Amino acid sequence: MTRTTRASASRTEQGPQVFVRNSTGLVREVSLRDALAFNSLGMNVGVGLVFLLVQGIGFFPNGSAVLAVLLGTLATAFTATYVYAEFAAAIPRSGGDYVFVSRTLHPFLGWLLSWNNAVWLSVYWIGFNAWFALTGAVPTALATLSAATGQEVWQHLADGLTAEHQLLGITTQWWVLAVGTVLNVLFAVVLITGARSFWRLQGVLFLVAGLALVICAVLMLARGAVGFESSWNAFAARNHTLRYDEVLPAARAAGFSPGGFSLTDTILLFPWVFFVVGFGAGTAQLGGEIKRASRNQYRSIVGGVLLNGLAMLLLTACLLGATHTTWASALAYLSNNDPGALHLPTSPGFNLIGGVLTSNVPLLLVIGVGFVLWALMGTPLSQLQATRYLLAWSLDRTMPEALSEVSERHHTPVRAIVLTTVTGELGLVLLVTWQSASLLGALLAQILGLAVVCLAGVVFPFRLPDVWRSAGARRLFGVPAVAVAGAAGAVLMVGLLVLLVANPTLNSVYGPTRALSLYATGGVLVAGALWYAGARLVNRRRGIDLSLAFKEIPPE
Amino acid sequence: MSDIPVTGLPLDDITAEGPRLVLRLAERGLVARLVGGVGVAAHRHGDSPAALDRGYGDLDVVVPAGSSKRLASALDELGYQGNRRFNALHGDRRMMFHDRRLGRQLDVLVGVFAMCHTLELSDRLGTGGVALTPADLLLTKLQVVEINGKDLLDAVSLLHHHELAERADLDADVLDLGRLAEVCGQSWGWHATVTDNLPRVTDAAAELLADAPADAVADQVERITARLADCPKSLRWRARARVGRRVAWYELPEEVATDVGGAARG
Repeated sequence: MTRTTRASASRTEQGPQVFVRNSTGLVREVSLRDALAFNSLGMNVGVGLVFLLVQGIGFFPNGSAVLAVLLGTLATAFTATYVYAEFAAAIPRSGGDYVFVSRTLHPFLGWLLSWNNAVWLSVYWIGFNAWFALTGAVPTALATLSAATGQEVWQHLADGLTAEHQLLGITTQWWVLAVGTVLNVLFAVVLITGARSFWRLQGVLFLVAGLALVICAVLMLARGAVGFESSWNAFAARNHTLRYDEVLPAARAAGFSPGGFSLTDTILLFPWVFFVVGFGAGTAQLGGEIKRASRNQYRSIVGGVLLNGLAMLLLTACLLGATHTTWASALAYLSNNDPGALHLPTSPGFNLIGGVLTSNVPLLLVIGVGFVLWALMGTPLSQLQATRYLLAWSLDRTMPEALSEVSERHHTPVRAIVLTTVTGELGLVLLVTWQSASLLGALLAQILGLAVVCLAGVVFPFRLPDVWRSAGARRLFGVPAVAVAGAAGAVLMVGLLVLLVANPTLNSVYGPTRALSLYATGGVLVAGALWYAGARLVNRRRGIDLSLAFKEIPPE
Repeated sequence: MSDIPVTGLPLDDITAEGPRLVLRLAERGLVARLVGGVGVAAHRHGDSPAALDRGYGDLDVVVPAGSSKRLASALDELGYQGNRRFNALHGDRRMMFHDRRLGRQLDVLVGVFAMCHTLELSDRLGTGGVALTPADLLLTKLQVVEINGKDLLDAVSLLHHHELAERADLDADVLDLGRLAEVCGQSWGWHATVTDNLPRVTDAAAELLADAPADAVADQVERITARLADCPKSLRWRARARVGRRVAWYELPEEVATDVGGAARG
C-alpha cells in the first residue's frame, strides 16, 4: 500500500526525500498542541508561581524574580532541555531517557535513571499532586471565595476538607485521603478508557487552567497598584488581616530588611525557576506517539520551555507591578516567618493575590478551579510517563512482560496504569499521614538524573553518529550542538546541586541533604540496582542475554 | 478460491498470500479484508493490460475492532510475528506483523483506515470477496494528498476493471458511486482531496492504457466528478467549506521506523 508518508523522525531532516513510500504510513496520535499542553502542565507555571512568590521572594527579597525567571529559562532551555529535544527527535521511542542513556552511556545507567524517575513519578508525584491540590489549591480557592463573598460556608468547607477526623481509631485528614483517592482513580479510569479521551480532556482542562492565569494577569494589569491597594484593604477588613500599609512595617518588625538589587540573591532564586522550566521534557518519554517528532519535539520541549518561561516572567511582572516588589517580598517574608502576624486564611500565592482583585464569583471560580487543575494535572502526566517506562522495560525484559500487555477492550496498558495508581495512592497516604514525607522528593537523585542525560548528550554524536546525523546533525561553531548543550547542562545541574546543598536557606527549604531524603534516594537506587541484577540473572537462566537488547535502538 | 494453498507458511507470491491469509483467518472465525495494492490486485478480472502490473512490498488488511488478541494468535499460527512495542502503543487503530519466512510486513488496520483522511470500515467488511469493495479501495487511493504513480495506477486499475453503479451491495463487483458520494458528501476534506486527484487519474489512464479503455476511464471519472458535485452535502461539510484551504484539511501519515536497530551500533 502506498501512501503519502512523512519520513520517519530520524529521516525527515535529510532533505529531498521528505515523502517516502516504503510502507503504510501512520497518523500519530499526539499533535504539537497536545504535546505543548502536556509539557506545560508538566512544568506547571501555576504551582511554580505560588512557590516562587510565596517562598522565593520572601527568602531572597533582594533578588530580581523577573531576571531570575529570564536567565533560568534561557539557561535551561538551551542546555538540558535542548539535549532532551535532540534525543527525542532522533530516537522517538517510548521510555525516552531510558532508551537515550541505555544506548549511549550504559544500559545500567539508563535503567537506574529511569527506575529512579519512574519511582518518583509513580509514588511521590502522583501522591503529591492530589495532596497539594487538596491541602493547598482547593482551600485557597474556597478561602478566597469566602473572603470575596463574605459567605463563611466556603471557609468552613476548606476547614472541613483539611481537618483531621477519627475513623477506625486513626486520626488523620480523612477527607483529603478520600477525595484524593477518588481523583486518582478517576484519572486512572480516563487513562484506561483510551489515550484519545485523555488528550481531549487534557486540552479542555489546560484551557481552563490557562484561563485562570490570564484572568489573574488581566486583573492585575487592569487594577494596577492603586486598585490593588484598595482591593487588599477591602479584603483585609473582611478577614481581619493587615492592611496594605501595615504589611511592610510588620515584616520589618519580624526581621525583614530589604536592600538594593543583589545578583547573588537573584541566582539563589534559580531553584524556584528551575523546578518549573526544568520539567518540560515529558513528551520525550512518549516517543513515537508524537506527530512529526523530528520537528515537534523541538517545538514542544525547547519551545514549550521558552513559552512557559515567558508566561512565568510576564505573570511575575504583573504581580510585582500590581503589588509593588518590596511589598510582595514583605508579604512572602511574613508568610514564611510570622504567619500569625499576617493572619491570612491561606498562603498568599499568585492565586490569592489574583482573587483579591475581584469579588465576581464566576471569575473566582475559574481562578480557583484553574489552580486546582494546575495542581492535579501532574497526575495523569506522571502516570503516562511511568507507564511508558514500564512498557519499555518489559519489552527489554527487565520487567515482567505482563506489564506491557494491552487490554483487548480498551487498548491501553491497564495493568501498568493500575500499578501506578496503587503506588500513587501509597504516596498520598504517606504525605497525608507523615509530616516528613514531603522530604521524599529526592531532589538530589532527580537533578543527578538530568545531569546523566546531559552527559549522554555529550557523547551522543560520537557513540551513535548515524542516529545523530539522522536528526539533522546541528553544530555550534563546528561542535555538535547537543554535546555543547549537554556539557553546559551538566555544569548547570551540578551548580544547582551545589546551590541546594551549600546555601543554608535553600537546603532548609528543599531539604536535599536531610537524612530521610538521602535514605530515600539511596534506597530507591539500591532497590533499582538489585532489580536489574535480578532481571539479568532470571533472563540468563532462560538463555536470554539482556545486553543484546541494549545494542540496538528498539523498533517502534 | 479452492486453489488457495493450505500451507502454514506465507507464500512467496504476495498476491496469492493475501487471499490465503484472509481465507485462513476466516477458517478461524476472524474477518479480514485486503486493502492496498494487493487488495486492488484481487479485483483484477479477466485480461488486464500489462501496464497495470506492478510489484507489491507489503500486505495490508482491515479487521474489525475487538479481535486483536485472537487475530495475533491466528497470525502467529500462519507465520506472522507481531511487533509487540508497536502493537502495544497503537493497537487500537493499527497493528504490525512481519512474516517470519520472508520478512515481509503485514499492516493490520483495526476498524478504520486513518491516513490523509479517515474512513470508517467496521461495517464495510462483509464483502463477498477477500478484499474491500472497489469503491472503498478507490477512496483509499484517492485520499492521498500527494498521490504517486502507484496510487494512480491502482486507481486506474479499479476503474478499468469495474462498472459504475449508483447503489450496490457490499458483495457486488461494481464501483458504487453512492459510497463515493456518501463519504465525500459528509466531509469537505475528503471531497477536496478526491476531486483534486480525479483529473490525475484521467491523465494516468491516458498514459497507461490504449485509447479506448483510457477514454472509458475518463468517462467514468467525469461521471464520478459530476456525482460528487451534485451529491447532498452535510452541514459540517458546508461549514468546513467556508474555511477552505486556509486550514489543512488532511493529516500527513508518517513512516514507521521498524529497522533502525543497527543504527545504535554506529
